Amino acid sequence: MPEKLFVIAFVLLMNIMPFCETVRAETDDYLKGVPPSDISEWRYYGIDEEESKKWINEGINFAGWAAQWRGEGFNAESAGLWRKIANLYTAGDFLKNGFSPDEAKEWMDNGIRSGLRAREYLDAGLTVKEAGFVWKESFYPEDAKKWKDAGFDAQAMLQWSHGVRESEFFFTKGLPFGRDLYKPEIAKKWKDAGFVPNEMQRAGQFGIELSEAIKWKEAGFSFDDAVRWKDSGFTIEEAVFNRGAGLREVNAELKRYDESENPGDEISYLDIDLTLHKNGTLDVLETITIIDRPGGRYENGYFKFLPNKVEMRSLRSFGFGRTTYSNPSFHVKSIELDGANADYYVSDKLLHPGTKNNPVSEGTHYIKLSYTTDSCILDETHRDELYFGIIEDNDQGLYIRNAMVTVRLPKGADVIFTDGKAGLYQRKDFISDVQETESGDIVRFVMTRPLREHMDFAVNVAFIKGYVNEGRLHKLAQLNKRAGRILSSLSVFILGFVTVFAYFLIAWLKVGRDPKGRGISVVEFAPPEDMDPVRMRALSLNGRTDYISVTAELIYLAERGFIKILEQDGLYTVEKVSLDANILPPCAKSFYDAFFHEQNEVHLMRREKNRDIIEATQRAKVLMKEELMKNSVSNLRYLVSGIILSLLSIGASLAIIDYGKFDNGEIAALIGFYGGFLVVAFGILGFIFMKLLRSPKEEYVRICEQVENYKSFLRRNFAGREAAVFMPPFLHESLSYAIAAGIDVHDLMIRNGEAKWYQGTSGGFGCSDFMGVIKKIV
Amino acid sequence: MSITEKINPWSARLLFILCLALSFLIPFSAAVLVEKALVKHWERYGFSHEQIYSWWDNSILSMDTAKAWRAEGFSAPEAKPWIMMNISSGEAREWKDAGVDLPVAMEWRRYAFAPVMGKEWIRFNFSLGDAIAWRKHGFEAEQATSWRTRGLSPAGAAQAKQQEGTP
Repeated sequence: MPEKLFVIAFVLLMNIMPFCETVRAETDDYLKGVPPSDISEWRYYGIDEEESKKWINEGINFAGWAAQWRGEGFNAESAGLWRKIANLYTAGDFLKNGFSPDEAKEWMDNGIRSGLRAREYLDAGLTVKEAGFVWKESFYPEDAKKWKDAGFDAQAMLQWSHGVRESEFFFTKGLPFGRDLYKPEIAKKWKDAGFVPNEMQRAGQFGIELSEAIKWKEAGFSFDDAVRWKDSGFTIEEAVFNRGAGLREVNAELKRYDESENPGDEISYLDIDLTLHKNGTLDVLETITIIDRPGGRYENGYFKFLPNKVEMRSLRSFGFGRTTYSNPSFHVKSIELDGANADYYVSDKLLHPGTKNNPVSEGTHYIKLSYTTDSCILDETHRDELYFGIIEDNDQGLYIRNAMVTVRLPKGADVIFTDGKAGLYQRKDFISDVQETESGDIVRFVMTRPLREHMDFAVNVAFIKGYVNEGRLHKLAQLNKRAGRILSSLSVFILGFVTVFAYFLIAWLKVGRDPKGRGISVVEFAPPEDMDPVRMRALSLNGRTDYISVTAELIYLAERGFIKILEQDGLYTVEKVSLDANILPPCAKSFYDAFFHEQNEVHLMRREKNRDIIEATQRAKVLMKEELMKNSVSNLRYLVSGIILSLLSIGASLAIIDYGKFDNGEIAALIGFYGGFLVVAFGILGFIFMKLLRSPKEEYVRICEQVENYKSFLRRNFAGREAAVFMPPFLHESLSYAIAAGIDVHDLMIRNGEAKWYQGTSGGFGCSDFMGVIKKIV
Repeated sequence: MSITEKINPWSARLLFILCLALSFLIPFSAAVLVEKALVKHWERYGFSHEQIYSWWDNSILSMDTAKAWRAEGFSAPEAKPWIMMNISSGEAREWKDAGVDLPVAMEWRRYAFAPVMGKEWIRFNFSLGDAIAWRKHGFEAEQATSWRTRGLSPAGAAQAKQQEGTP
């Protein structure tokens, strides 16, 4: 009971006493209820009991932790203050660099979490707010110091040092971006001369030196005015003079052009009306007034360039945008020349109104050109963008006095931005406005200056994705064009291949199929007349003659009594028996004559080539091939037609390729590899059908059928003989044919004495042994 | 052997039961082992046991993806809808920082407003439709605000801008 009362009293005391509340409030949530380190541990770190209480009171419960704070130069009281704003290392960093906890907190609140960095900014003369501002833009203290010393405050140093951020239009933090950086000494000079950051930065892009800019300024021209007068080709003196005469730069330029002795050809008015359809095609209506003077660009009459390759780029994404090369198609709908319909022709990618013999004459003409084109859409991740180049690479100096472009978007394709280029490099000498109509947005671009040499005019209109879909077929066509029409070539190849295949198939069905036999299975107990094993094997295997044929033929001759086979210790000797060979079938006679040549016996030894037997085999081979040829029809005329078709397909496949896309080396490689592939593919097809189209004659098929029937008979006779080892004598006569028929007789032997034609030391005539010897020899 | 002799079927039955048990246990054990190895691997990169299963339960099985989203301060359930909409972790973070939730972000990005741009328009109290209309005429959010306070429509402001320059 007294113990219980003591515990209750203690808990009440702890909850009532104010210092206990303080201690609890100071303790981090996650440390609440965690007991402090044991006194022995505090002592281990050299902290006595009294001091340990101070650390614990500051919420630092653990001896090791307290030792770390102490190691960073803090006592218990200061650690208690710093602990609430930073970890001990950050706090130590700020403390070492002379910051109080409040100051450190302010620096950290402004994004600078390093005492050293804060000190550097402070030494560079930047306040906390300024430092936080420039730090966000990754502007380091050493740079800040240079700019500060040059007399720039934080905002000014960012404006003067950093060019515009160049990134993709749809920019997120993870994406790369770039920007030009400028040096303080140069910026100071421009600033001191009274220019603003944007003017200094553009001067670099436009190639204007400070000294020149100052002269223009001193002559009373703003930077933008100076750029315009300069772009119009005037010196400061000329600009001052013309301005004094009340002219603006454009008027002065036009006046000078009109007064020049040889102004050359010009387009005095160019109005392009573009209507974008949902399938990505573009209806273009160009209204042009040309003044064709003697000589000049249009010496042979006005023409319009129809490029087969266009480089498209989203200017708003700077260098981070994808460059897309498109291969637009052009379908001219109509041409009006001076109010009347006119003829036209296209030559070397140039569209000429009129005819070859009667081009557009010199003088002023009003031309209205209507055509359809495509492939003008940049497929960006978050938008679609129309890119249309009006004048690009104007290196011949065509003078265009006025130009305007109207872009009509399909309904729903709201404009995201309009952009473009007009004038010299990086200039945007145009104005644009957007009109919202029931049928969709209309964007108008009007050039604010005439165009002359090295000046471009192109427009970009970005709009909401999903309203224009060029379709997969169009994309495939573009890919094909970009790849030099290789896909078309492959298509022609496939089409040609299928056609040739179909042709050959029809031809084969018509003339190439083997004639059908009688279709009745008749048991043949003997080989057909005049049929020796070589011929029988050749009939079965499409004219083939091999070592099996030779083995069978020798046994056949032996069985007929024309030879004797003697064996001694694995050495075979074939001995000629004097008989009239004329009674043999022609093939067997030919083989027999060649085999013995002018000798009476032939020794057969393993691994020793025998010229006579090889010659006899060759002769049999030739004979069998001749027989096959004689007994079959080649149907050559069908084959030749197929080959001509194949050659036409190869030619068409190669001819359709756009070789302009490749350089000479690539063309050679392309023709080499691709042409080789085509030839091989058609060659294989032709070879297969050459074989298939050869059709045997009917008599030949009949004999083959008889052979097959006899082979069936032999198979039944020899079936299950493997286990017997020795052959029954009644099978001796048909052994040679069985071998020729491909029946497995390897394990069969003829017992010594059972065959008149064999004598040996091995106990019998072994088929496999004899066959093995012949195989090695042949 | 006499045909009347009976064969004891128990050994065959036991073998069959053993095979059945093994056919379950072997793949099960293999799967458990693989899972444990994967958990260990994830733990080495600072994921707790619960967090790992949370990422997996939300169909995020690639640790690189999980790390990228964790680095941007997203938990697995938070990350999943953004991933389903094919939005990168960095972009999602920017939208969140702009105080925009996923459905609204999807609307704004459908009309090609990057987070930094969308944030500005929202900050100046433009609805998406208004922002589209003003942007169409080449205005940024801050400029548009100035013109709007003069009571001008986007088209009117564009006309006035051409004549006057700034509001």
